Amino acid sequence: MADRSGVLNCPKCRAALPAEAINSTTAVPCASCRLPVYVAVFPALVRPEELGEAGKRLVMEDDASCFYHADARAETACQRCGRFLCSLCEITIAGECTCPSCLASSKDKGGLKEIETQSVRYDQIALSVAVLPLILAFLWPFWIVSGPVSIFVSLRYWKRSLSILPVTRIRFVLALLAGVLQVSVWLIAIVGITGAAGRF
Amino acid sequence: MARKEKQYRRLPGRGAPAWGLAGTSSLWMAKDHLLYVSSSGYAERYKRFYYENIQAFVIRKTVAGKVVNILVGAIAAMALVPVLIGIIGEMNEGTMIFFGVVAAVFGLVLLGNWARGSTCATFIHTGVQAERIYSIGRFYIAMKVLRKVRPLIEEAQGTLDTEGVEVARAEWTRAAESEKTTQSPLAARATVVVKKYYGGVFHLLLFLFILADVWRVALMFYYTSIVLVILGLVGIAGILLWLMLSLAMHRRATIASDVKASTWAAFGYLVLGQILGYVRTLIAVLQNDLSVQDRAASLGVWIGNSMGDKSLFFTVLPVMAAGLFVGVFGLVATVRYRRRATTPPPIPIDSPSPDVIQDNAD
Repeated sequence: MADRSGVLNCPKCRAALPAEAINSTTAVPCASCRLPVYVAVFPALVRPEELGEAGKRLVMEDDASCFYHADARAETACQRCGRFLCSLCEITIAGECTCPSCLASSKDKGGLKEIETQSVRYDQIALSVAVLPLILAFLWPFWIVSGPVSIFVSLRYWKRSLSILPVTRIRFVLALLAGVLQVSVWLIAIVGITGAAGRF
Repeated sequence: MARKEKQYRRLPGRGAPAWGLAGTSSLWMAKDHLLYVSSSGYAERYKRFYYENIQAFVIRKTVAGKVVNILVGAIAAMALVPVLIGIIGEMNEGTMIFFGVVAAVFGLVLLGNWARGSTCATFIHTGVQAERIYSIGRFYIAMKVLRKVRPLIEEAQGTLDTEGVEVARAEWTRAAESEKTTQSPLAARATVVVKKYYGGVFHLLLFLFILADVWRVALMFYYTSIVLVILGLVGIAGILLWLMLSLAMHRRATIASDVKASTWAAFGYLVLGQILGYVRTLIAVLQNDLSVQDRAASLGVWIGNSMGDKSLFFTVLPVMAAGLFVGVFGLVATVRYRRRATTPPPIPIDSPSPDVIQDNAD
């Protein structure tokens, strides 16, 4: 991170990097730790800091005011809940204007991909639960648990968004197949044992 | 039907995230931002860097690649010695093939690592963060990524032409200078304390100890003595402790990269030697073979036995070769570093003495 003065520091020793390093064609040694550093700088580094705009005061009594700031004039409306917003409260994400509370609820419910910071890979979980006991054959007694669990996870989370990256449902399919196989083996074994016990 | 356009396109590079060896990380390119994904396998974490906010890419070369080269090279050399001995003298053909395959595998790894070029740590700087991108671990990959991303960032921000670069450099120098002059006396003193002078004595002794241990191992083949065994046990523990102290100095002082690489190679040599020695001891115990008393020497005897030649000179060579390689390489690097750092860096004239600071504080 650049410090307040706009000088970048060496990631290793934290000393200020030499000015010659800026957009140099080769890596330049850090003045302190001597490790070669290549720095590609963009205009944002030297651009003056942009300050947020404060809400404008109400001029006339019948002006619409911001839902969150009663004394600030409304500039726009939230495209999700319709609340009037001043320029301070307006948040634009992926071309959509939202208010802070809609943004917070989107973050909690996962409705807005652009602000998602993490996701759980249920397909990987289902596949691991199904395949690991298959690979480690000595874990066969666990098939009675791992089979139904992998089937349940696959079906329960089939429609859930797995990642913001492009992923297919192939892991769910494989987990289902492996789960069905494990359950089938147990069913055949149980039927066989009970059948044999019946004969005796 | 028109094919749906992909929102993200993957950029080159793949690496383990900071929080685990099991996970992976990757960098993806979108229309208006870069997405850094670190995955544990069961969960993914996302960090977005919008093109208009990216201030800089800082790519620092690291010594990790050199350390791997030294370690893998040492193992390949160790495996190559019996092969060469077999070519010159007489040796079981199967053993020769075994060591030949080991040497070839490690040789290929060495070649591959060398061909991929220097390793690096890549950071993306924005106004509020400097995030390390673990997926970019090679310098050539960093350049490749930069070539793909630069046009998009410049489209969002505009370009920094030659004049702009000159202005930025001048501003940078001025800001760095003014920061130095406006430092408080306490901060100035802290800078002097943090950048501690270090002459390399820990490293020098470490490599001397390693070389001494190599000769002790050699001696074990000629004299079976309990004194040498105890000396070996205490010596290895001492060397490992000394190694930790040397590694700790890497953080406290500015040390040349080749000395650092040698120290890490010594770490690898000692740890690998101990692991192999323990494995051999375990096998010896299981086989009820109590003739071996020292782990390092037992490794040599083991190699010697597998070669079908019990000549002490031949058996000691592989163990000595790796130790000598690491010890001599480290010693030369440290001596060179010591020559460069014979005098401590001068304390800045304008930095006040502790008394002055005390007066100011009063």
